[in-house]
Amino acid sequence: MAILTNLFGESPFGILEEHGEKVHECVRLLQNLFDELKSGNADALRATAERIFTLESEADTLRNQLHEMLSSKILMPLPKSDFYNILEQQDSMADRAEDVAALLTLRDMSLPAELTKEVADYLAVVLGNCNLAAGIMSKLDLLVENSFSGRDAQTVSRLITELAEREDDVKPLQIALSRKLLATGDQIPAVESVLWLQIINRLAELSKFADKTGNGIRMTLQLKSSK
Amino acid sequence: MFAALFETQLPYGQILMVLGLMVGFYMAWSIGANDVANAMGTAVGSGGLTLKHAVIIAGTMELAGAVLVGSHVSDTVRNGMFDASLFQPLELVLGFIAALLAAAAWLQLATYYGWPVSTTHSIVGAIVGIGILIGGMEAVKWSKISTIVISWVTSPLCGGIIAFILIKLIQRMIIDSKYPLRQTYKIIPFLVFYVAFILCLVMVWKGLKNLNLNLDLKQAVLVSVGVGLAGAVLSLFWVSKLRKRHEQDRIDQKIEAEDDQVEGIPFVQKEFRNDADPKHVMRPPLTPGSELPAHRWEVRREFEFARFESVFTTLLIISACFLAFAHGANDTANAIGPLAAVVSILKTGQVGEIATVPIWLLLLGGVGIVIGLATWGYKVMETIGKKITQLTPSRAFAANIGAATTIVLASRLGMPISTTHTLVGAVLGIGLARGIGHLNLKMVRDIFISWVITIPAGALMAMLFYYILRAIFVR
Repeated sequence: MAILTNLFGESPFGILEEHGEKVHECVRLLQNLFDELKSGNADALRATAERIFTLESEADTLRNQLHEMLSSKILMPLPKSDFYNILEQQDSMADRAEDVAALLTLRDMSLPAELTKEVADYLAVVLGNCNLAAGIMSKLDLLVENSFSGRDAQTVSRLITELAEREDDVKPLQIALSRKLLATGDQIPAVESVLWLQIINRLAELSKFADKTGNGIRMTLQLKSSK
Repeated sequence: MFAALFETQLPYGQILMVLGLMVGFYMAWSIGANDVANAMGTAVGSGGLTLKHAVIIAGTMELAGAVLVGSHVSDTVRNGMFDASLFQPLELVLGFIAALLAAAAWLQLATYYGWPVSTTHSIVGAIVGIGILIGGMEAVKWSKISTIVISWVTSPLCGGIIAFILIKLIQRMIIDSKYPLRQTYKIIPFLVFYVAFILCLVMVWKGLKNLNLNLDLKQAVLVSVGVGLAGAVLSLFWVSKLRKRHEQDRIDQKIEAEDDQVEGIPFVQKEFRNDADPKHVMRPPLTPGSELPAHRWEVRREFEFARFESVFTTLLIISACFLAFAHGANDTANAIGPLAAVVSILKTGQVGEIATVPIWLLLLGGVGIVIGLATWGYKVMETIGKKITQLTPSRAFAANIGAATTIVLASRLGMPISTTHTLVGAVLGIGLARGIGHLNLKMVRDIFISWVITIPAGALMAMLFYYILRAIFVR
C-alpha cells in the first residue's frame, strides 16, 4: 500500500538547499574572476565565466523543478508565497553573478591601477554579504526541524539583522567607487567606464538580493517578541 | 485434532470449511503484506532496525496484539453488525465467506490502481452488504454501524491530535531548551511510563478472559499505573547508561557542557569615529570560508541534537512495537471475525453466539499476518523506510504513538478502524504542527473519497459473491 509513501515526496526544502549551493558556488567564482582579471589571464577568465554560466543554468533547472512542485497540492510549514519569494531572491543572486561575468567578457577589460584596492574592498564586502546569506540558507533544515520558531530561529534572526546592517555599507562604497572611476578621466576609454559602472551596479544588486533572501527567511520565522 | 476440526454439521461442510479457512488466511496474509509495513517502516528507515529484526519484532508484536486484545474487535465483526438469529445457518456461512472474498477482491483492485482503501472498511462494507441482502434492512444493527463509521472519522482525528500534542511537547520541552540533551533524559521515563500504562490498561481491563485476568476499570488503572511505573524505573537504568556514554563522547570531542557565551551572534559593532565624519567604517569582512561567530555554541547544539535523534531512534523502535501490537489487535479481526463465525456455525450447525473467539483462530490469523509480512511485507517496509526520510526519529515517534494509542483504545472498545488512515491522520497532525517539510494533500483527498466509496463497493461485491456461492452450494 503506497499510501504512506505517496503522502511524502522529495522535500522542497532539500531542493531549495541544493539550489542555494549552486547559487553560492556561482557567486564565489566571482572572486576567481576578478583575480584572473588582475593577473591578466584572459583564457582563465573566459573559462571561469563559462563555469559561472553553467552553474546559473543548473540553478535555473532546480528552480523550475521547485515551481512545478509548488504548483501541486501540498502542505508546507510555511505559505507557498513565502517559499516562492525566498527562491526567487536566491535565484536572482545567480542571475546577477552571471551578468557580472558576462560584462567582463564583452571586451578585453583591464582593471585600472588606481582602482585596484577599492574594487577589491568593494568585492570583498559584496561577497561577504553573499557568504552570510549562504550561511543563513544553510540553517534552513534546522529551521524546518524547529517549525521556524524557538532558539535556532532567534539565532538565524540575528544573522539576518547582521546581514541587513552590512547591506547598508554597500551603497556608500558603491558611490565612492563610481565617483573615483569617473574621475579617472581619459585614462580609461569611455566605453570601458560604462561597462565598469554596470559591473559596479550589478555587484550592488547582488548584495541587495542577498539581503532580500535573508529577509525572505525572516518573514517565515515565528518569534515571540517577549522572548 | 485435525479430524475433529473438519467435523461439520452442514451439507458441503468440509468444502466450505476449507474455503473459509483459505479465504480467511488469504485476508490475513494480505494484511501482513500491506499494512504491517506502516508500523515498522519508519523504524527501519531511521536505521535503528535491520529489515530482518523488523520482521521478527513485527511478527511477534502483531501476534501478541491479536491474541491479547484482538477478541473485542473480532466479536464486533462477527456478530455485532447484524442480528444473526434471523439467518439460516447455511446462508450465514455463505454470506461470511462471500464477505471475505469481496473484501479481498476489493483490496486487490485498490492495490492495483493505487487507491488508499482500508482493509477494515472493506470487510465492514462487505458484511453490511450481506446483512442487507440476506436479512433485509431491519436485520442490520444500524446504530452500531453508524458508531463504527463515526469511529472511522474520529480515529484519524484522534491520532492527529495526540501526535500534534506530542510533537509540540517535544519541541517546547527539548528542542527549544538551552540544553536539549538534559531535557531528553528527563522525558524518557515519562514516555516509557505512558506506553507501558496504555498497553497494560487495554490488556487487563475486562480483557484476557482466557487467562482469568478480568479486572474492572479501577483495578485495571491501578495495575496499569504500577506496570507503567515499573517501566519508568527500568528506563532510568537506560538513561544513566546514555548519560555516561554521551559524557564520554563530549569529552572526546572537546565540546563544552556549559556556555559562557551568550547564545546567538555577538554583533560586530560599528565603530563610529569621534570626528564629525559620519562615514561608516568597514566591518571585518566575512570572506568565504570564514567561520561565522557563535560557532562554539552551534557546535554544542549540533552535538546534542545528534544525540537527541539517536535516543529517539531507540524510542521510535519502542513506538513501532506499540503500533504493531495495536495493529494486530485491530486488524486481525478483519480476517478472523467472519472466519470464527463460519467455523462455529459449520461445527454446531446452528447460528449460536459463541462466547469468545477460540485462541487457535486468533493464532491462525496472527500467523497468516506474519507469513504475509515475511514473504511480501518486508519489501514494502523497505520502500516506506527509504521514501519517508522527512520523518525524523522524533517525528516518526510522535506519529506512531498518536496512531498506536488511538488504535489500541479503539480495539479495546471493539471498534474496527483503519490503522493506515489513523497513521495518516497522525502524520498530518505533525505536519500541521509545522514539523514536516511537505505533505502531499492529494492523497488525503483520495482517502476521504475512499471513505464514501468503500462501503457500497464492498457491499455490492459481497452480494455478487453471495449469489455465486449460493448458486454453487444451495440446490
